[in-house]
Amino acid sequence: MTENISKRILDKIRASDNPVAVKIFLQKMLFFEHAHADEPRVHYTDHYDEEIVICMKKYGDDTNDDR
Amino acid sequence: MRDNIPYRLSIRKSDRSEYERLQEKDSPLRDRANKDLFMMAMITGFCENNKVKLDARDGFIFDHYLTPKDLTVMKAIAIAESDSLSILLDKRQVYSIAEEYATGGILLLKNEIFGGDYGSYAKRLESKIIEKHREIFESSPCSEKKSDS
Amino acid sequence: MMIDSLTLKNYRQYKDERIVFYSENNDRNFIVIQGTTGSGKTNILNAITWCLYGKELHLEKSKGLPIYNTGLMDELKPENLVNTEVELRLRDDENGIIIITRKLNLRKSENGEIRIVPSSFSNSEDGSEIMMQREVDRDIVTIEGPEYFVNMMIPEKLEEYFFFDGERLDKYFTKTSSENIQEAVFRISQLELFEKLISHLDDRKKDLRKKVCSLSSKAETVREELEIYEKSIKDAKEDRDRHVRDLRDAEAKEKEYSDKLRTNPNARKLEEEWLELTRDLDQIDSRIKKNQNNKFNYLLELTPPLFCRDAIITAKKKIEEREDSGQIPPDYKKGFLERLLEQGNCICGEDISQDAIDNTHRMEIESLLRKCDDITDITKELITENANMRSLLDGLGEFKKRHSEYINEFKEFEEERRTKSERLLIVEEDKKGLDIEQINTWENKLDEYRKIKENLIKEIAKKENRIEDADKKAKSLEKTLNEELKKKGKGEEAQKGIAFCEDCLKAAEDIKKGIMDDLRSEIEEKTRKHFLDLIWKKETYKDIKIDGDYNISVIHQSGFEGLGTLSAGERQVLALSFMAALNSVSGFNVPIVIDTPLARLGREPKKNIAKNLPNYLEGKQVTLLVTEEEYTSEVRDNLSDHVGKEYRILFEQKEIGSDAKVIPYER
Repeated sequence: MTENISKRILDKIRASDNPVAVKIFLQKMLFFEHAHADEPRVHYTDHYDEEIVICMKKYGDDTNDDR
Repeated sequence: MRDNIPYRLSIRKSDRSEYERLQEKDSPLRDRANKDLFMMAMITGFCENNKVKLDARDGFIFDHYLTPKDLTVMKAIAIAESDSLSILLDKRQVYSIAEEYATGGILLLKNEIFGGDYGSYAKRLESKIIEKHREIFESSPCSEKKSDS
Repeated sequence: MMIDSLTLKNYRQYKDERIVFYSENNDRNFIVIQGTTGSGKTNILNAITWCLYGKELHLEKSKGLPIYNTGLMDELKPENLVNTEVELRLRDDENGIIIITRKLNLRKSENGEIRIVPSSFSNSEDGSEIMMQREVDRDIVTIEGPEYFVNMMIPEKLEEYFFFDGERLDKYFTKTSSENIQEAVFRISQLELFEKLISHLDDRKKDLRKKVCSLSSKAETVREELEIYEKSIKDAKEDRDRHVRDLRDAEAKEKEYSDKLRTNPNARKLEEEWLELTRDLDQIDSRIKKNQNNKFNYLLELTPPLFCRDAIITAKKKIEEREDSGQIPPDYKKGFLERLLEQGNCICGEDISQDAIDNTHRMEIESLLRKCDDITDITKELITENANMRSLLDGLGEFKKRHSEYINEFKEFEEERRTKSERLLIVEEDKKGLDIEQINTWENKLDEYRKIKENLIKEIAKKENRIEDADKKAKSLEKTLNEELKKKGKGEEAQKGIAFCEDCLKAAEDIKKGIMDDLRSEIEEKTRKHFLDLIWKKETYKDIKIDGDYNISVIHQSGFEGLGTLSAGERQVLALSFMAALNSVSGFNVPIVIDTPLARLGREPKKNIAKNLPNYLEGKQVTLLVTEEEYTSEVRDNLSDHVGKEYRILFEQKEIGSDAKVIPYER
């Protein structure tokens, strides 16, 4: 299977001037959306809520871009 | 002269077809009344001095269709022809002269009309009239007064 | 990814054909299939889309014809089951093989009717079934959910950017091109994922906010009000965006009709003038006819008196002589005297009968009678005729005047006729080639679209005001809400979550916009480069621009905008350049199939494109479906270094159905 979140999008996120937490959250949620692109009703609420908490907690104070 | 008894001016029986020809679609006189055709034939005959007696008579027009102008012309011709005003006493004689001139003129008229191209009879007539008028009125300095003499 | 092979069984013109696309030489990434129109060329493209999506997306010429091969079905015995099948073998970047097969079951009934037997496992409108398999170490593994995976590999929404009809390409730039480009860029860049992310995240933010606000009644009230405003902003933005799209469409239509009318600005006036002139000329003709008739009547009336003038003068003279001599009017009329003698009584009362004693009186009367002229009985007539003759002669004198009147009137009419006829010729010349009805329709349409535009501009302004107003209120409410929550010091965690969501939302919007801008700029650059390389009028155009609203401009050397003046061939080159640019930025490595890429192009452009296209589509497998007219020897030579496989369609129209075979190309 081809990875089809285009490289362009991922590079743009990484290169952006945003906190690490935000970058990681965006990448994760994009993959999630892509993986469930064709499902008519996907339960995103729980997944989003979890990741918001995770990213905030885990990377909230991180300014390091290495993630 | 005209009494109350209507008179039918006649044409030669064999000339009926010539008059009918003058009323066909391609004739410039197609819309004219019989009396106009008769008058034109009569004038043509008079101008050519061609009088022809009628052998077989064919009633053509009633005299009450003739206008005063038509009658005046016929009378003038009759007076000039007979050299006497007394001819007016007998309308039959006046009409007879008219009939004979018409008989003498009908074929000439027909040839005049159909001899040239269609539509040009009007022009030819116009030219003839202009020329005749010029002849009469412009040939001498007193030409305009000629009618008074 | 590339097409390895395509097998067609009982599909349209094809009874059983296998076309091999794959060539081991990576540099030879072009496949050429040549066929005449109607031979089954475009149906190769249709077969591919049917196999992938269950839809034949390029069906124009074959519309109305059944999907199966009619000849084959005719030979089939009744009550037999058969199917239409297309197998597409794809080779991925690791040389793995993916086999996609679509089948449509058919049955021939007793009476010869062919019916589709829909599959119970079908998700397609036509009842066909798709199967997807992968070759893994000589094993064939079936992949569940084939539709999903197909769409992941080659999304149907983007199909037209990889499998396209060269004859449809040029329409791309005559419509609202900016809208199309924006949509294309959006789709190709997968930014819809961002849209989903933003939508879902916004939803979570609202939810979090709701939770926090539920801890304070005032905060809850403010939050509810805020949500109402946020919704109204969203709705107003949607309406506004819709109006903007409609406005673009209306502008495009306005331009379309305006361009059409540009060469015919006075069509209506010309038509009105033409009608007026023809009416006038008819009237003048009537008048001329009447003039000629009247003149002829006059001449006919004049003829007798004119040509008998001498006779009239003679007659008149005779009458006047009698008048001069006193005979007219006479003292006595003959008839009168005759009646007197007959009656036997004179008017004086004397007896003048034959038996009268004194016959002197009678003898006097008889003497008078003898002297009396016959004409005395017609004196009145003679006097009348004298007057008539004078009148006729006077009438002759008027001939010149009256004749001139007719002539002058005729000349006036003729002059008027000549002037109007000349003008009519000019108007007719101007009108030539104009379809007045068509032009009136265009003018009406132009007015219509102008009105629509006006209304839309007003609506857009209204919506923007509403958005601005609601935005201000929403911001103020948000401020109030945050202050309220801080005051209460409640739901700190949730508030942090809300802030985080807002940061992510802003970042997502910015990144989305940034990507769109980058793509636009990249596409612009690539389109420009391709176009200027491919276009044969090298000195005519100097630049291509795609602005922030995705309006495409072709800049002429002299600086003016030249998009509207491109010929069909030039538009084709622009479209090909654009598609090549889109493909290279899409991030999808999907094989490209182009049907009729070189139609409507002259010799030089064909050669040029054949030479340069491989460079623009480097690394991608490109299949060209061409006609003989397109595939000239020059084009063939220019492509030859890149062509891995070359075929010709051998087509035979049979009594029932047709048969197409794909055979190796031989000149």
